[in-house]
Amino acid sequence: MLHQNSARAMRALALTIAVASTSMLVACSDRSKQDGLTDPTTNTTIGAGQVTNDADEDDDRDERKGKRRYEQVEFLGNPLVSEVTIAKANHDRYNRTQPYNTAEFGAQSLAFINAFRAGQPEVANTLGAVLYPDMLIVESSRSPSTSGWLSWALANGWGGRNLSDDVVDAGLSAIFGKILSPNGAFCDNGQLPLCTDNVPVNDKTFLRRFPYLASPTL
Amino acid sequence: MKMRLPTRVPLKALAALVVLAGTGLTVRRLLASDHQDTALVESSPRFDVNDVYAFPSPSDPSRTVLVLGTSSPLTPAQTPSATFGTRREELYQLKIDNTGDAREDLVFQFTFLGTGRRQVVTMRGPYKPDAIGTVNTLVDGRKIWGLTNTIIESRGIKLFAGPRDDPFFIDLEAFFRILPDRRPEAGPLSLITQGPLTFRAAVGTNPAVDFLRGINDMAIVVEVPTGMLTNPATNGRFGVWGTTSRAIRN
Repeated sequence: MLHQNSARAMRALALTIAVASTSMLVACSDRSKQDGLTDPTTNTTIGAGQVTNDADEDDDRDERKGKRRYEQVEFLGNPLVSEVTIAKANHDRYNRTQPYNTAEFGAQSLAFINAFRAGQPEVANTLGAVLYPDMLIVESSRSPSTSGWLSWALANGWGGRNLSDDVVDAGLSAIFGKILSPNGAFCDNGQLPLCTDNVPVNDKTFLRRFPYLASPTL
Repeated sequence: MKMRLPTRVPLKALAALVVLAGTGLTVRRLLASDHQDTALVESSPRFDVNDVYAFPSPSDPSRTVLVLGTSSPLTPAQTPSATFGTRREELYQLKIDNTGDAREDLVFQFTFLGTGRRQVVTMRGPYKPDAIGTVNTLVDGRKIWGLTNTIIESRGIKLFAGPRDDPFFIDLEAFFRILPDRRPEAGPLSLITQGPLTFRAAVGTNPAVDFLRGINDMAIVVEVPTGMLTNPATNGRFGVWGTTSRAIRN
């Protein structure tokens, strides 16, 4: 599916992401104590069934006449896909679809990318092939150490999306940089002017323990 | 305005980007990869899915962690009073396709009760959904529940719902200088004008800044044995996405 050269270049980027993620993990382990959960650990841990859930049961009884129905108003799979490549006017419609929306929205994403890389259709075609259907793909039979955004397609990896993945730089470098084609690129991968925002990591260190996201700033 | 890429940047393409960017954007819509991207979620941020993550548990690689981030940006001042939408109005879901057809085979459904800082979170799933698609009902079956802002453990599943540091990071100010049509309508960022077509250097007199530093979200984090999500027929491959849904008033 992927152009051979493109695949090779993307593999390099995905590996970079994976290595960066691993480094982050090591950094976390060194500082796990200071990154301990402030809120959950200072409050009682509650197990399922150990608190009454009467309100929920009451609400169940309220629904005897029929189940409450919910209509979807927001949907997100891959980062940046709708935000960057779908026209704002179409976001609400996009949000009311599901990952099987490729036929309608895949073409819009390709058109957006081709506006910049008209002479290198492989850029849009490759991105379209890995970003649609729009969901985070996990290849769980592969090594968990290779997790990272799009690594399933580009580096024979686990895929998914790590908290530490710099998806902005990855996306910018894919669209404007040389990852998928050296021709017509605006910048070297991960470099100024348009292939990095120079914000490579989160402001807080992620936790090694559940729930992994850092404590809120209060 | 000084363009630093005059010979490399097709102006037609930039014009297209500006047009696609639309008008009337606010800063909140772009604070993360998908923050506040429609009028509906901007006015009701609890319906806003900011980011979805899926990664192997750092402590046990045989387990998978799924994250649904909502309601960002929350300032420290706003965070203590932030809540999830209650089940009378909202359903949060993480959906899994493990047959390769981009349609959900399993769903995690998260609902909330109570309006104060201490809400009760209830999780159903992973279960086969009652219906595939964009109109859903709560699946019958065993539930896991507990207070928000605590770690809930049951039958090999871990669950957390509550305020966290927004894990996303981006130099949003630089982004707006490149694409000022995406700037907010109010506040300091609304005054940003077209700058050079470049992000900022990492160091120096005007260095890059993570606009989301110190900003929080309302996160739902669930960790399960990976085998709960997979299907041998697809060799352990699965897809993940997140949704929010509004209760239909009959």
